[in-house]
Amino acid sequence: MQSRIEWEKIPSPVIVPGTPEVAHRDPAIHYHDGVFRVFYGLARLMDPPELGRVTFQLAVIKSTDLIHWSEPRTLTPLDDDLNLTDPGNIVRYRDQWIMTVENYRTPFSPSGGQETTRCWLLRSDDLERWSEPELMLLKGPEVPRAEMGRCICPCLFPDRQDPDKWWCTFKQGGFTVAPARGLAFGGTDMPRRSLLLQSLNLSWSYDLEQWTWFTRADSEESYCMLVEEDGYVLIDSPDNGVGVKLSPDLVHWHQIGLYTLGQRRWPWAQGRLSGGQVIDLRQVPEVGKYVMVFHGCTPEGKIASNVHGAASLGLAWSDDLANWYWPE
Amino acid sequence: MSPPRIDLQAIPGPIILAGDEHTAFRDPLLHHHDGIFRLFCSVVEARPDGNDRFHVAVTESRDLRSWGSLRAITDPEDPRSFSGPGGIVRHDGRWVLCLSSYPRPDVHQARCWTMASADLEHWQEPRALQLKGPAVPLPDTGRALDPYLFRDKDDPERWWCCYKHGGVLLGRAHGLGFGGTPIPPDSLLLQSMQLSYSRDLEHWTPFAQSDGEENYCVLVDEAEDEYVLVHSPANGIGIKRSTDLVNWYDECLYTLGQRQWPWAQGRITAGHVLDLRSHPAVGKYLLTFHGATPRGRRERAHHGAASIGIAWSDDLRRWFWPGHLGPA
Repeated sequence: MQSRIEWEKIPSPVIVPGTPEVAHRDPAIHYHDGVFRVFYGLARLMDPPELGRVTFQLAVIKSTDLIHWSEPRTLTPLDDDLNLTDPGNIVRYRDQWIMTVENYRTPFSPSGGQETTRCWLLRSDDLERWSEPELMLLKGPEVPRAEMGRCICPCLFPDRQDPDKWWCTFKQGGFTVAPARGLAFGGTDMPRRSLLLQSLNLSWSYDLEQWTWFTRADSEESYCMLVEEDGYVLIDSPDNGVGVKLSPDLVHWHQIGLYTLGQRRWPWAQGRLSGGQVIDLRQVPEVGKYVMVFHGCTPEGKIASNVHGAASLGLAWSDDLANWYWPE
Repeated sequence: MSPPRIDLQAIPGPIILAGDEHTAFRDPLLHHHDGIFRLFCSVVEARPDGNDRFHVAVTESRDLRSWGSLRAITDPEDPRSFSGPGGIVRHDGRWVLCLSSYPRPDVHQARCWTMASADLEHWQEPRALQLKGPAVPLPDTGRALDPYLFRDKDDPERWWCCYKHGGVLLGRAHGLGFGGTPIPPDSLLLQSMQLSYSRDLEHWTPFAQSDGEENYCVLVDEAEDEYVLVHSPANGIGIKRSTDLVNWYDECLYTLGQRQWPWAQGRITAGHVLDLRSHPAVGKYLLTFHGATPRGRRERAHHGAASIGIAWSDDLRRWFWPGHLGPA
């Protein structure tokens, strides 16, 4: 029998520390047969660093107690075109595990720049070996890959009422509201705030292959969706922090929380704390809580490279999605 | 000898003053002096023509469990409709309470005021604040409400007053063709918090404007050498921090037990925090707020059948209330 998680013995909120060379970002936590797996994007600053060329590989770490973690293992090759990263929820569908990711194209990608980034689906029988990525035509079969536009942050989740229906989020478009630069007084080095509206897109499918676009809503990026009794709970990333929104219908949303956890005490996360992803393990006896993973960038890392940030992976937990705890 | 400890867990429920379709209780301000808690608030009486009248009232308690009857401190028949008690400070040997006038239907005539008292029982007539300075007479200042007085963290002779005036509202378009829940639409008000300063609470100088929607409460966190702003976005209780009152960091947004509280599901707002961490009888931050019902808010947004609730925290990050006491 799996022993209970000893929360007070978790030594640090950091589960994988980043460096100026290697960042660990956009985690997704999964739990099966007593094993926690955190899939994420391992971002490597390539030589020479002044070029700012960052490559991404999908990586995983494992733990049975949330205290001891395996070394990161990369699941995809170093390839500027592939650059798989940002996994969404890992779901069970027709006796397979399904994980969604994006291929984060950069100006260094041979087959096209940032605008060619798309969402992809991977399959696995054992959570260890994953299939080749399958393109997700999230705007439907009539809108081909070349015309979809840049899509990132896919996350699969089931419908609340229809057990055969699946939803997928993705980030596209929207518009940014930001304070004007150049305030004549004050002037601290706090990161500049902004707000991205209408960038969360939602599509649905009955087979994870044919998709129908549904609507868009306000939510900046890095989506994670929980399906609860009173509605859908969206965990997202505004300009800083972990946001929580609630909706009964995926159209009308209410912000119910914004958390920056221990950021004020964490130099490793003071550039930006984001990428929150939550798994509901309240009914799993040996865990009994919501568990959150997220990443934090250093200020220097975020200034040097916004997509790298010298990011570290962090861990927190909660009984109610409202009060969060971490190793103090 | 230390005063007996207040048993927060013995408070029977999160509601201190329960509103209904006739009478709403809003904009709480909790004050503690000589062992007496005084809860000042707006009382809104519904009138058939919709021009509801406001007044400010106070109730007292020694244990946060039993409260005395409400006593008006402004005239319920005064057409200026005084409301929104924003804070009580000690100045020149007197207590000074700031508040708004909110005349209906001519809400553009709302202004900011102070009232003085020698004993917290008897209050003088309100005096208007010329927060844009002596050169801008009251009729020309425009709608101004939600004043909150606080002392500069570095200069003990300088007083600040923040108030709500102007700003830019970003709101959702009406008429989505699907969905249609009774949840009120979210909106975002930017640049509506104004700050003026004074050395005598009489002569004011405008200083800056910033993002902070309404219902302000400002604390000074001496350990961090920061201002902490408690304010009300579209829904919930927001916490921001700043070292200079110009650049702000969004630390958290809380909606407490709203998901389980029908009495607050229209909007939970108007958080006011009283720092009694160093008081031996309490040892906590105490939060008072109001919650409006969905129906009350739809029918009369300024009334909302609102009730006043209470919660507490050790750190402004994790909140507890009667019936939600957190992990053992």
